[in-house]
Amino acid sequence: MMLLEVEHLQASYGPVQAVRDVSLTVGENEVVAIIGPNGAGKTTTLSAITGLLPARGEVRFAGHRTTGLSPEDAVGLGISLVPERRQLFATMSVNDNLLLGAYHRFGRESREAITRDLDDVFALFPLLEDRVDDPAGTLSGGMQQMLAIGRGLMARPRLLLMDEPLLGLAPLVIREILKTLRNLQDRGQSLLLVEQNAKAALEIARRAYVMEGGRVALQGETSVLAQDPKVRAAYLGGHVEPAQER
Amino acid sequence: MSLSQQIAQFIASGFVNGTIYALLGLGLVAIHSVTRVVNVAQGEFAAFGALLAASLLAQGFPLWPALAIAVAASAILGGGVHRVAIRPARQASALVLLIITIAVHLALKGILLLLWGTNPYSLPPFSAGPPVRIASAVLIRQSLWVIGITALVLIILYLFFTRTIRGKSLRACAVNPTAARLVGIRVERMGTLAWVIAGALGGLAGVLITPLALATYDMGLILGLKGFVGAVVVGMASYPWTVAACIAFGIVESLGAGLISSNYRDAIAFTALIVVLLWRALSTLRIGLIISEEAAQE
Amino acid sequence: MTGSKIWLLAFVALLLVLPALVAGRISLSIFLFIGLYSLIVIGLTLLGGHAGQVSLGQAAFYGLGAYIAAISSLRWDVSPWLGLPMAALGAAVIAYVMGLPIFFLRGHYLVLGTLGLNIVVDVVIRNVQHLTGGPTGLTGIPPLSFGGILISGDRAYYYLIWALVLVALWCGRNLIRSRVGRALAAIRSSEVAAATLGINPAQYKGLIFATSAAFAGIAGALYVHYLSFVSPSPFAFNFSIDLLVMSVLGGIFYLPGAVLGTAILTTLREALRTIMPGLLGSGASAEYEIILFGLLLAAVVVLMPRGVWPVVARALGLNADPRAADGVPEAAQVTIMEAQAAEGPDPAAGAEPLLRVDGLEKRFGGLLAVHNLAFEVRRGEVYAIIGPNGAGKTTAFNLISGVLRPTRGAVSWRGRPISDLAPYRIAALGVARTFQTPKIFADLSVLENVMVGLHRGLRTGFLGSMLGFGHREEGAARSEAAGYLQMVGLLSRATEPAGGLPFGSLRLLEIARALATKPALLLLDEPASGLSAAERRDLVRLIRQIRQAGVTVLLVEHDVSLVMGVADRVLVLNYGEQIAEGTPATVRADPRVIGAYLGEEQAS
Repeated sequence: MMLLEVEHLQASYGPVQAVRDVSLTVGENEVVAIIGPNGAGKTTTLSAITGLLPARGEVRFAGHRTTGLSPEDAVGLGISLVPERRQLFATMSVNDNLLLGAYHRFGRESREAITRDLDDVFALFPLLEDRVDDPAGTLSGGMQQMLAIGRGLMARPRLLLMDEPLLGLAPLVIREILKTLRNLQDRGQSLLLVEQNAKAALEIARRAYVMEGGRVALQGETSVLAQDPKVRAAYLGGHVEPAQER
Repeated sequence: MSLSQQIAQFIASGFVNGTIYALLGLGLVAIHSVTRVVNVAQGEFAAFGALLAASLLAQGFPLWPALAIAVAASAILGGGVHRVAIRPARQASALVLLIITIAVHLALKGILLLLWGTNPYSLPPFSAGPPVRIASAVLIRQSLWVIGITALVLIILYLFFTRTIRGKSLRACAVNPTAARLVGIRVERMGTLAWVIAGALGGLAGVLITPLALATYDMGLILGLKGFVGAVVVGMASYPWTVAACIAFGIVESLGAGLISSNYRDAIAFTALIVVLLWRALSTLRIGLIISEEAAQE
Repeated sequence: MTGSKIWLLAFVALLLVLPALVAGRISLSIFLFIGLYSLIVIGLTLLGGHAGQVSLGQAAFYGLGAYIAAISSLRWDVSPWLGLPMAALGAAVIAYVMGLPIFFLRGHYLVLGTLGLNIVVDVVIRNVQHLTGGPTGLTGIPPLSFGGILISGDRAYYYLIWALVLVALWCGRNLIRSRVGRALAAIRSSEVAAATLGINPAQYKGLIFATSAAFAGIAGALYVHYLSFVSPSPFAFNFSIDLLVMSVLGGIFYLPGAVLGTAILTTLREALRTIMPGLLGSGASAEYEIILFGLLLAAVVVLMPRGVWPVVARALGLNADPRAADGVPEAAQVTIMEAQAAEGPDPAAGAEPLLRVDGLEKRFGGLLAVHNLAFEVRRGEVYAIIGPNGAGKTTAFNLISGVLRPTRGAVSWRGRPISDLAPYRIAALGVARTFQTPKIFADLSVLENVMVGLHRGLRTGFLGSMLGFGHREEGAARSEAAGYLQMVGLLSRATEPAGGLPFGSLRLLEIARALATKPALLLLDEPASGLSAAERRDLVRLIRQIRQAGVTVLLVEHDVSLVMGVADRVLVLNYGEQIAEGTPATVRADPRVIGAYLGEEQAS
């Protein structure tokens, strides 16, 4: 059984119907990427899956129908989103941001389990531990992204959704984040990754979906997609051609 | 009494009034930061708490239980207002929400009038004894109770917001509601909690001030407005700065009333408010934040 | 004759015969007061519904007007007719002076400021006894007279006040439908977009606030001449709340709602006062009145958030929308773009770059969004900046257009520094822009959106607009705007609400709106993002057309192929670093660009 199954998802962002028809799956322990140009509906897809935006169609998580659930419930079920532009609690400390990531676990699990996971995040991102009492807003872009991922992990999600984790980061930091993602993959964390940086996304994911105009245009194993001439031309910056009028 | 003594006296009594305003201002900040509502009815919580405490006392309740019940009832009133009047309209614009709180203010004031009439009520000082001398100012004992209890409440609030996950989640709702939802915080419930806290703080302000000044059904508006001034001057965002601004406001008001004329008490206070607003506007202009808020949100 | 005109005539007829109808049964004074309060509430409606601002101090302006009229006629022997404009002007000036800085702050600050003003005014009136008579007030104020005939009695003031209400309604309607009304609607939708089209938001809000204060001031003056006596109590803060409630009750977006809300609240209050004691015994009315008021207000706001008027209008078969379109778009008159409109021919053409950005830096807290950006845009070229998302391109646009202030560095326009100018001033120099997420004025029609772009080129001012001048200019503006729409292929949708356009059309509309300002430089922020392949082709064609008309274009984009197709020169950014600049051909061949941006393996 697939962990996440999405069928014929439709969702609107304001007046724009950004997602017209999207079907995708993510398996247990699988890393899946969604790539595509700006405005293709990638972020809206993730928002609809987590319930931030109302959606039509069918979303099933671990066999249960979850279409139209709220983001608060999604976290409880085990779906956690690392949102676009990070959405940290900017004026609160790194520590508080991470603890709030585990919000739904307070009262259900022991304090020790949460502290253990906190140490785990610091082991994953040692840089964060040095800044543990600093407000999240004062961190550099790369460290903010690490914090956002750490906060997502603190929820102990069965499926972690990530929206553009590499956005606006320097190449060195990108390498760092990619290393962490591989690390998570090795631990068996299921990931659904939305990324503009198609090269990086195709490297790390096992399968990928290419979205265009609110629909899935292509899908398949990343090893196959990376060789697809259309994908190479459009997303891997292969052949640059002047936009002549056809 | 020499002028410097007089001034010390004005500052001291202004400080005491300022702490009362601070309790109301803190409630307004709690409500605004979590639910984006400017609560015009904040002062009614104080009036309700004060009048209820006075009635309980008249019914033969001992002082401290009467105060505790009054504060608790104000807290419940706060939460009730959120559930009944604010939550159903949560999608509405800021203007509509403001009008709703005006409506709540009117309705509560009417209910208070119905239940307690126009007569003033009083509470005895929390402890008997002669006034206390501090530096060159003389303070009656109730003033010390006001300052002491407010300080205690501030410490409790501080610990709540910085040490407990509930308090942190409340701050999180204010900082970034979307992110709060994403980590599983139920922002609407936190909204009710904020109103409960604001109700309790309002009720407390009411019972603290009543031994110093009589309580009437219509005492709320001006009291709430003064808390509002302190809160909004610092941008309705910071708890500690709200306390500082409210105390400063209380002192300015007291000095103005004492040195110029007590007839002009409110005029001086609110002129100071307008001046601060203009000053804020001009400094904003200089830094060039004019429209940057909207741009930064993108 | 349209439905609305018939109803208006019926309303005026009712006003005319009302004194005869009620004679001997009900006192006419209640209708007189409805008119008087309507005058204030109309101002409040213009302010709240059309400038998006709330005043909780309107009673203060009412009181200021009353006391200016009373004191000037009683103590200084000024003619009451002169006292009326003095009252209006006095209130308006105080409002403008206090309002202008507050409007720079945005948010709820006007509520607070006006509320404070009301309390201050109330206290001052009560205490400056030698001038105002203190709490007891002033008596013996002379009535208005006309050609030696005293205007006195309920009936005379009734007609005078209602005539003024009709004038105020007419002025308000003119204003809403004018260039100014359009600008206000634009400001409500997006202050940033309005400012980058050359509109100064604070100034317009200040003028509306002053107008609302003037209406209240006139009402105050009429009040004292009617009663021939004045005391402070009607001008307390409570009455400001009443006025706001009237406005919201009737519908703060609708001028007829102002009169309706006032009528409902005033009669209701009167009815409660007469009925309640009968029902519950005398003396019991006050508390029930307040409770009922509160509950009624809450119910109306929750159940009818837009007020009672839209409901009534629907029952009468009227269109409640005050900005209802004037019918189909005119025949389009094709317009050719004119660059250089702002400053005439460039004196130093060629010598000085049009735009120069020097060491520009912007920091948001700990985040460095733009770092040491430097480039020049020459006249007549298409200059493109490419780079990955998050490289600070949009922030750079915000810095150039004045929406943000740089932390360091400078932007100069034809050699003149502009980094600390407000966006509307930069727009006036001839810089227009679009936004990454189109900031369309959703409440306005497609055509009106473009007309906002024409705003600075139109002359009818605030007063002129209020008095209904500028029809010819408006007509010409409509056809000119239609011309721009034709240019981007949106003419057929001119009368539709702009909010309903599909995403690709929003981008084109935004470009048309920017072109309508007749810019010398057009900034396009990711114009291709979210567009379909066909729309991209149209966009490329449009950009070329714009360039041919002589408008310089600065373009930020990460669609590399589009940029390579239209740009004369390209700047390549890579995470805060400028790695190459030059013609598309040179940039494409640059090894650093290939390595960092286009992808290592694909050197073509």
